[in-house]
Amino acid sequence: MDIQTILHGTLRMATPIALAALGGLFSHRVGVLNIALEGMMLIAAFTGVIASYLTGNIAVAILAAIVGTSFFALLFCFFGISLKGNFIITGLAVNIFALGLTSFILQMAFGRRGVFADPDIVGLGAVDMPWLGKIPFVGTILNQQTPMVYASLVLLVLVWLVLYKTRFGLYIRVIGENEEAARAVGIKVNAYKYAAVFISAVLSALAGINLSLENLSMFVENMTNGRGFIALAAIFCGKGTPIGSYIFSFLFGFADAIQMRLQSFNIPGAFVQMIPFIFIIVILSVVGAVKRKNSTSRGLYNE
Amino acid sequence: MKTTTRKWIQAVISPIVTVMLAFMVGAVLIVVSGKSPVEAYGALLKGGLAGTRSIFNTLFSATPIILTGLATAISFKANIFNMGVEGQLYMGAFAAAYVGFSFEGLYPILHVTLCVLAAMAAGGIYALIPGILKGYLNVNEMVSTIMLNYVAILFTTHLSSFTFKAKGAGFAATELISHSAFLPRFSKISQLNAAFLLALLFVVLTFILMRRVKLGYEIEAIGQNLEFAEAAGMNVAKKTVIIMVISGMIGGLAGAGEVLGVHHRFISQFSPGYGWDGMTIALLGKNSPFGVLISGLFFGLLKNGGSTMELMVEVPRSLINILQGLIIFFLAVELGFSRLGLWKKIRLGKTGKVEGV
Repeated sequence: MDIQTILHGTLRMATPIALAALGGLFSHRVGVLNIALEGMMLIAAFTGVIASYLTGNIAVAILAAIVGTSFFALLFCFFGISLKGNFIITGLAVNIFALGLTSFILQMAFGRRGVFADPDIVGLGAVDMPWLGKIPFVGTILNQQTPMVYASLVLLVLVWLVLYKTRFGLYIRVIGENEEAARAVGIKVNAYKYAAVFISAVLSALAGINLSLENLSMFVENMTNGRGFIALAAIFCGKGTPIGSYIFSFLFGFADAIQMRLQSFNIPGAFVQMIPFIFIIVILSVVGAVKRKNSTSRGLYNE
Repeated sequence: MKTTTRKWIQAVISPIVTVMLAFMVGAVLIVVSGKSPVEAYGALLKGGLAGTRSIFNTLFSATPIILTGLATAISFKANIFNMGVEGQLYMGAFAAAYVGFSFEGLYPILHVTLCVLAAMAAGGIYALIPGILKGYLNVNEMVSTIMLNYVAILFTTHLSSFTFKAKGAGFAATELISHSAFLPRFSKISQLNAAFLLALLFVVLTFILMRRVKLGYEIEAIGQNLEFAEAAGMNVAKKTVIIMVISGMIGGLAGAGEVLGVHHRFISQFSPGYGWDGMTIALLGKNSPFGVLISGLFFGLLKNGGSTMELMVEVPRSLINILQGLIIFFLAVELGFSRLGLWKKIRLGKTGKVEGV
């Protein structure tokens, strides 16, 4: 019973990370280090809330979030890929720009500071599917989740199919492994890089919607709180594979769910809240140690 | 000689062009929100520069971010992305406060020195963790340092709200530090204090480290070509750890400056993102110590003037963040162009060879 509650929470906490990771792994595989996931999620959370507030329509909100992240993806691609800027610096720019722009618009257009909550914001609630709930053990975990949770599971399959069973996915992987060779056989490398970043933008948009419209129905300044980077960690640990990235997102979500459970016990909150962050560092180290053991090349190499 | 002059002109002109471009885009945003960019930027400059008080306040605002900028520049120069200066700053700040309130009756110079050393040790040790993980296990330092930022903030919040909470304080903060640990203020009109001199001192020290010491050249070598540095027999893993620790020490110092010079106690979550500002400043200053000083002063002006702008023309301060983001965008491209030049040369050599065959 209790373990099911924790796993139910795990799935909920893992979803924004998993969505961002599933999208981000396309950039990772094509050889674009995308630290802009954080800023994209934030923009999506913001535009989603604003659109939902203005129109009351959740479909419009999702669309707005996708448009918002796509705009930032375009900026990221233009500066990073077309103009050959450093990806880390371009990504950093996206993150800081997103943070500034959301606060600026919030204050200028809506006269709010830091938080935007309003009864007019339409959120997405949990879905009850009695047939799902009847399945023993798994049922209670999967039932009563929000739509993006199910979307993330469907997307896991979709992303796997696209990456391994389509020509598009093949080219993405080929470019990541040997860009020069890909260029030599006539693959339009930059177009695929753009496409990969746009896929991460769209999935980050869904992650942002999950944060601001499913769990809370409000926007809080900097509400992504490092989740974009956690998604990046999940991709690194999962070696850029969809299933691996999902598993690590799930593990990080698990640490978060445990943290939420432990809050009710008599352990100082701060130490409990540290669990997910320390957990991620430990996992990254273990993965690094294993890689090092299996690696035959000497010394450091860049990810 | 000619090339160095050209290099200098480039180093000076490109940041200026970058900043102007960012301000132009910012102006568009201001117009869209129905305000006058001339008024807004006028208020910004006036708030930052008009009168002794404003200038002092600008220097005061620049103090922590010059230091975080230096901390960041040292690591960025080696192509190590220490994004954890924020966390290192918190650890340093707390250490400084701890030494500050634990001792009494020491000579001021001794007490301040002890606090500063404790802060630098705390920041350095905290940066040791991601340093070792990067150097020996190749753990991505961006992710690990950002995760450690959250840990540091939570940890110091806990310490200042429970373990070392000041009696009767209405907010999470430690006891006041002893008077002997105060960094003196220069005047009554501004909070500008001796921490600014410390920042200047470290600009010079960082310059010496980068230009006059072997490690400085090694930092540059690692930053420019990791494989080559490794092949040339450099112990890159060890150097990575050392670079991270130095970076963390300066981050810790930035925290000490805020505690000893401004708040005189550790206040939970006092930093409005000084560590993040440091990244912009390091990039704008091209990772050079004096570049960091100038761009640090510039951002001090923006931050100080930003509040005036918000008060007088009702253009939100977050405009500064937007400008910051835009500046980084343009800088990333500029870096790209210079790299492109390099690539062209290499390619040219290669194609020449191919044609020869």
